[in-house]
Order: sequence, then structure tokens, then C-alpha cells
Amino acid sequence: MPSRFAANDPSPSPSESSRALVSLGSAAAALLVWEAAARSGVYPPHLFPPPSAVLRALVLDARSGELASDLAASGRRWSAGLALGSLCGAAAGLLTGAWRPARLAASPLLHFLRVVPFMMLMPLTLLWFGIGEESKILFAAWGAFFPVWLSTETAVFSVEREYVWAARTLGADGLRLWWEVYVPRSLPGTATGVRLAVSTSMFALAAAEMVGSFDGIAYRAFYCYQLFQSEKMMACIAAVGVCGYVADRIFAAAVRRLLPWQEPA
Amino acid sequence: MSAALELRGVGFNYLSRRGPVSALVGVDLTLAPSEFVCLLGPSGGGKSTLLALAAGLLAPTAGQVFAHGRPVPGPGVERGLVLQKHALFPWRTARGNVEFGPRLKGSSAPERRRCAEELLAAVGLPECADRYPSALSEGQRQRVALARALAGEPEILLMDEPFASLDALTRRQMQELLVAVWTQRRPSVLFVTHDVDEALTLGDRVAVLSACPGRILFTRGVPRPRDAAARLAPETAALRAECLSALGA
Ligand SMILES: Nc1ncnc2c1ncn2[C@@H]1O[C@H](COP(=O)(O)OP(=O)(O)O)[C@@H](O)[C@H]1O
Ligand SMILES: [Mg+2]
Repeated sequence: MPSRFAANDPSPSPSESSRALVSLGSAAAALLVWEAAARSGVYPPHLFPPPSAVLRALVLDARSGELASDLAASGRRWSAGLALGSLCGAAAGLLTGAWRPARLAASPLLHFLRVVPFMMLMPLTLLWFGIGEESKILFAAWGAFFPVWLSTETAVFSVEREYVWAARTLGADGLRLWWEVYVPRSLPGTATGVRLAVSTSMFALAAAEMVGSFDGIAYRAFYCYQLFQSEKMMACIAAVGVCGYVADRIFAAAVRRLLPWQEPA
Repeated sequence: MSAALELRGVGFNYLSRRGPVSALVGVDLTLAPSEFVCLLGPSGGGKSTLLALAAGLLAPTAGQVFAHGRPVPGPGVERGLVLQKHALFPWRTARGNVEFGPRLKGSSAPERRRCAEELLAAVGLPECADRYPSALSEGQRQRVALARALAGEPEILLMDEPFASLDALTRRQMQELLVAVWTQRRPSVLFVTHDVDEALTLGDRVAVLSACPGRILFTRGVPRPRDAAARLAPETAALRAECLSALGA
């Protein structure tokens, strides 16, 4: 029998499966309460549809292929924007974290831009870039950039003096020191930033799709709202939530794979 | 013979928000080739600062540091460093840590591998090569850190309380390992500790640093051999008492 007390026991212990049961059970309970509340008629059903109706709409959309094509359009923009924004954010974080002139020059501007709600920048983006794919990808990248930049910069700041000393006595300096110590040491911080960016880039993309798009999952949700199709609108929300959850789990697993040296948290 | 390392009138000030903080003043210390010197001092007395100056990682604000009569321009593999905390790069395996120096020097992959294997065997960890530091015990990490410093074939080993957080038995084993390595490879060793017994067990000489700002209070030769009889000899007891009282214990 596997021990319950082994802290690093990788096999699913009884307590782990019971934890999964609790999570699933609470989700099922929430759906049941929602179903009951919607059916009780306290609120008009076309505004507050039960989950069963949402599920029906989801299945219908999936069958017609509309859901898949909207999800694919958003997914393409999102992944391109996330990749672009994360790369720029990581590069900027390494630069502003490790090189004081860059920090002095760029940090105030970046912090200024960071606190401007991205919804407010949408009209400007439309004016400058039109409603093509570029503006939406740029917007998703914008949403991804800031968390990755900030967490990378913080990670670079907190690189332990001991690592730098050890590397320097072993012959690393200049760019080599940067590549051999600052980059690997700040990767876990960057990964945390990218994990936040998985969602923040979705927020930004949704803003872009609602204002300047003719497809995409957020556009579809907004469109259904305008047509009073509550079930379909909620189906879109559910689809985004599930996809986002899956993307987050995949990303967390990938990080564990790619950074195997991290102490188990 | 020229000194492997010489600190001449060395002082160091840290810059803090409230102005300069003096950590060391007027430190004179020499380290002969293959000599083992233990640096004793109270916590915060500037021992780590002194070691960083010796390594060339910090530049003295007064005085100068020489190696074989020439000013030390900066850090280099000829002065290997072993620290207490964060001793290994956590993102590299034990082997990757040991290979770090040779890789930067540009030696070939098989050459590096052979070097790492040999050194990991020399510190008694041949089977841990592919483990990350997080999967090693504290004592094993210090062994790998020693192997990593030895990979550069240093002329001088600078060690900053490397065994301070080990349990008594492991510390004893590490001391024996260090003496074996020293006997075989004959580097000079500057070994920082706040443990008087450790200093008297290991060093040819002990140098005692005052509280902050650090000055060298005195240096004394420690008689050999270090067998049980010598440990109980009155000279040793007197030296221990002198060191302890200088540390304010
Ligand atoms: N980065 C720093 N900035 C300002 N003061 C420092 C810094 N590092 C050490 N000091 C001060 O210098 C003195 C010596 O520190 P250190 O060399 O680490 O002592 P030890 O290793 O003997 O404990 C201490 O009083 C400490 O507060
Ligand atoms: Mg110290």
C-alpha cells in the first residue's frame, strides 16, 4: 500500500482522488443550484437560462462548426499575441532588470502604459492599425507584455549575489554572465509572468474582438448579446473558460517539464 | 617565494543610503603558496567582504590586493570560491555545475565530462552526477561546490563558512575531505569560519578579525600534528582561549 505520509509520493494517493472528487462535486453542486434557480422562474429564462439550455446551445454551435471557427480565430490571435508579448516582455525585463540605463530610460514609460486600461487604447489602435488581424494580435500581445516584463524584471533584481560571484570566479563576465546566470535564474519568474499573461492576453483580445472584429469567440458573445441570445452568449463564455483552464494546466505542466530543477513548491 | 596572495593595508566601505559603511580597515594578510589559513571573526566582522576582496569580486577602497606581487585585476579561475549559501547553480545538475568552468574555458564535451566525473569521484559523489541541487543533501551540495571550484585547478581556494550549516558528523567528514584534497593538490586555502575548533583543526595559521569594522587582531601558527594528544596540549588550549576571548566569547 502506498504511504500517505511520503511528501513527494508521485502516485495518486487516496487523498488526491478524494480531492478531485471535492472539486468536481463543488462544480456539480454550483451547476445544480444554478439550474434550480433558473427553473424556479425568479428571473425571465431568456435573460437567465439554466445550464442545461447553455449546454444545448453549446452542442448546437459545436455541430454547426460556428463555435470551432470562432475559437480557432481567437486561438490564432491569442497564441500569436501571447508569444509576441511574452518574448518582448521577457527581453524587456532582462534588459531593465540587469542594465540600469535601460531601467532609468524605459521604466517610467512602461509603468505609465501599464496602468492605462487597455480598453481605452482600443480606439487609438483602430485608428492606427484598422480592424485587421494585426491590431488584434497586437492587442493580445499588449495584454501579455506587462505581466511578463514585470515578473522578469523582479526575478532579475532578486538574482542572488552568490550565483553571480560563483560564475565570475569561474570565468563568466559580460554577456556570458548574463546568459549563464541572469537568464536561467529568472526563468521561473518569467514563467509565472507568462502564466498570468495566458489570461491577460485573453482579456485584451476580447476587448479588441468586441470593438473591431467580425469573428472570434468574444465577438460572438457580444453579437449574441445584441441579439438577446443569452444561451449562446453563455455558451461562448463557457467555451472560453474551459479553453483557458486547459491552456493554463498545459502551461503549468510544460513549465514543470522545462524547469525540472525548481524546488517542488 | 612570493606570496600567493597578499592584502596590504586593505580597507573597504560599503555604500549605503546613509553614506559609506566601513567593513574593513587596514587589513594586512599574506597567504604563502600551499598554506592553509583560517580566518576567524565574529558575525558581521567583514569576513565575507575580505574573501570577496581576495577573490577580486570587490575592489578595495583603500590598500591593494596582490597575487604573486601583481595587483589582482578581477576574479579568475585561479582563485576558486566555495560559499555557504546558494553554493550551487540550482538550474544545473551536479555535473553541469562542475563542468561550468571548463565549459566557459572552451574545453571539449568529452574532456569536460571526464573532468567532472573524476572530480565528483574525488569528492565521493560519483553516483549523483545527474541530480539537480534540490535533490542533494546540504553536505552533498558542499562536496559538489568544492568539486566545481577544483575544476579550474585553482591556485587558491577561498572558502566562506562552507561547512557552517552542516551537522557535526557531516562537518567532520567534510573537513577530512578538504584536508585530503589540500594534501593532494596543495592549493593555498583561505578558510573563513566562526568556529574556533574548526580553525584550529584545519589551519596552518589562524587570523582573527575584530568586530565591524574588521581589523586583523592577530595571527598565530597552529602546531602540527593534530592528533588527540596535540589537541589536549596546553599550547593548543591557550591558543583556543586566546581566540575565544578575542571573539568576545
Ligand atoms: N551590501 C552591503 N551593503 C552595506 N553593508 C554591507 C553589505 N554587505 C555587508 N555589509 C556590512 O559589512 C559588514 C561586514 O559584512 P560581512 O563581510 O558579510 O561580515 P561577515 O561575513 O563577517 O559576517 C557588516 O556589518 C555588514 O552589515
Ligand atoms: Mg559572512
